[in-house]
Amino acid sequence: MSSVAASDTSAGSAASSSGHLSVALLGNPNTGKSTLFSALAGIPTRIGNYPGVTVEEKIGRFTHRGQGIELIDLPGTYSLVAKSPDEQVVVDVLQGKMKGITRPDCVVVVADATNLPRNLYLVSQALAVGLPVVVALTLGDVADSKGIAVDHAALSQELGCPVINVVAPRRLGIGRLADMLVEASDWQPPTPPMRLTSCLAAADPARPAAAAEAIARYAWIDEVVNRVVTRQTDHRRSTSDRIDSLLTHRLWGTLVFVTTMLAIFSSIFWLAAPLMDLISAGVDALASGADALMAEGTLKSLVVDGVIAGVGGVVVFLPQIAILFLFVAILEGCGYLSRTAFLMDRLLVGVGLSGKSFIPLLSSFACAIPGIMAARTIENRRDRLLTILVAPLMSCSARLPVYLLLCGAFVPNIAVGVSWLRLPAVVLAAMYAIGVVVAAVVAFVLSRTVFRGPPQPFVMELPGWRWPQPAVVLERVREAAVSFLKNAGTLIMAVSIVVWALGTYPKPTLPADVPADAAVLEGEALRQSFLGRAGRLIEPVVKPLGWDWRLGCAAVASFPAREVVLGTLGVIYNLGDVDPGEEEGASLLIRQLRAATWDGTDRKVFTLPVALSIMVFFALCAQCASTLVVIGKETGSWVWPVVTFSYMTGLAWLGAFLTYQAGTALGW
Amino acid sequence: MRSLQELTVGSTGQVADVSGEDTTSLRLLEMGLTPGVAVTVVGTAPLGDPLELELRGYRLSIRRNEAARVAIAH
Repeated sequence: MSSVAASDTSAGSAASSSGHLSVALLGNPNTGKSTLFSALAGIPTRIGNYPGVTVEEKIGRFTHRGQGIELIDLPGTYSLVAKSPDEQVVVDVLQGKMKGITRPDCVVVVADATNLPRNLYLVSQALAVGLPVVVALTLGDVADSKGIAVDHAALSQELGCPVINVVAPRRLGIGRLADMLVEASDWQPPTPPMRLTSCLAAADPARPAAAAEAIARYAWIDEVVNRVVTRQTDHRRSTSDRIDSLLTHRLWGTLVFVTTMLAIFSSIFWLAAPLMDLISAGVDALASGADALMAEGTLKSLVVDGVIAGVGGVVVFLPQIAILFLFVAILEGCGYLSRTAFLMDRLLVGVGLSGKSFIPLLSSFACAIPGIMAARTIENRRDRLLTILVAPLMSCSARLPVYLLLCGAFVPNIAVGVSWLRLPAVVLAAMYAIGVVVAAVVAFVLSRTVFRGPPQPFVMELPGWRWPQPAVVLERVREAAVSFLKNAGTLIMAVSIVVWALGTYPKPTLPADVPADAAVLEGEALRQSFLGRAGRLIEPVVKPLGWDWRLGCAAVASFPAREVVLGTLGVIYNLGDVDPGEEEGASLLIRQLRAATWDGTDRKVFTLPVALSIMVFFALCAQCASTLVVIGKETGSWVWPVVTFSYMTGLAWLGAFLTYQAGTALGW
Repeated sequence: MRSLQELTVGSTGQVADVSGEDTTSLRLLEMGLTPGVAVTVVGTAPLGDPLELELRGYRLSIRRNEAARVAIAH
């Protein structure tokens, strides 16, 4: 690191030549770094990924005393010895090697006063980076309540750089910090403290260099902490301490955990519902408006049936995403997120994942999209990828209407064991279970084969309770919502248009003797389009599943979005645009399906094994273009959506095949 | 020589050494599990793994197989 300092001459001149000062914000996770960022720079002006990696980049701008300042919020890290993509990004930015970002002019290291020894580790490394350093000592209020006192003047002496007490939520110290930054271009980078240098020089040569250095650093840290930190031995237990005890209690802690997870899960289903209905109504209104105002023709069909239907169908999930991210941000802000990973780790390690996968997978039961986005909290690249790949197997809420209709129509309503337990309910539960079991198997197999690798460290800090900061929480929700809407407005709109085209062209030609009523026309239109032809084409493939070409067609049509399958079935059976949600529509569809026969025979299509095979297919298939798009975005590569689509479709076919064949053989 | 994973819940020990030369061992050292430091096993997750430790004034969780690398002095 010192060689970089010697060769770099641009630190001072960068500020004056470009006019603005570039400041890097460095620190351990859970130190209130985001709150500090918010207090200094407000809403970030640039959010995305660093070039070539899926590490989040966050940059903000603000002005102080006439000086423009650009603040780079570096990913939270415990050390500058790069062992992960996150740490590598931090090192690259600090050394000026990151594409698109000039080397910062100075560094603010955020150090948590309640946790100073471990925080000083990163500080000791930062002092040798060759840039001016200011230490912002945060969470002083929490430290006070714990009876911990840090003498910041003494600390400043020991470190050889300025140390400022900051309580970001109350904006204490913010002004002074900003003042210091503005004057930063006048400073020299600090000389690492003599005591640190001699400790490092005395590092044990018998050990590997990195290990010896780590031990040497802590030797220095112990000295400093002795001189600078005092702990009251008889301080009163604060509210935070009491909440901590509750959360870590063997019994109560587990109770809190289960209650919290249930609350999150039900909120995503039920709290979101009225909001989703609102958006749905809005989309319908927009569609009717366009329908009324636009002239008949291709453009209108494109707009109403393609764009509005396609994008509207995705935008309706915004409430679920916002609610999920609200909970995740609150859990993260209060320090509880790590604890959920801690509690669930053993269970998930058994299937090749890790504790941090729990919340993303739980959320995927509502909708895989927010679940996959929530996988950003998993730093371990391999675990994150595995989690993303199996998330779509958690039966999402879009599959529920399919399950409910088919269970209600074709599963006999007989009792299983006890009188209150009915077969349709058992089958419904079984469909959810199938998704979970298959996901466990897939994760297990992948982690032992394709993703086999050296064990990744689980070593994870369990932060103490702290009150989540509203500004930071709302910012996270805003980011997630904006990112989702951007996706909807671009890629998903493109996909919707393509699907619309495939379902509209070629235009149908009706034989002369067929009555030209709207329902029949729509049915013919779908049958004769590319989509319909695809259905006929794959009939040999779906026959072993017990399906006729109409079902094959509906399945193909629902690949972009599985929730359209019921409406599509309605169209194919010449019911026109049936809304299966309405009581009348559902019964009409059920009656049609029950009466459906194979072309030219009296044999019914929808037997129990067929209904089951359809449900199993839907449970395991990746019929959601939006999910695939999000997978591509989150993994930074189109390979993974293709892999997901392929393996899930393969498993879906196999599952449906086995279900139908076994069911028929067993005479169900 | 006992290892950290053998310490019972509630007991405190002094780290003697951390074995291994890979990323995991380095991470354990960087997080403060260095020779001489006092570490307490505060608890475990419901299924017995991972462990919750207290050291240097904060709480750390590590898996049992990671704790096996940390030797505790008598």
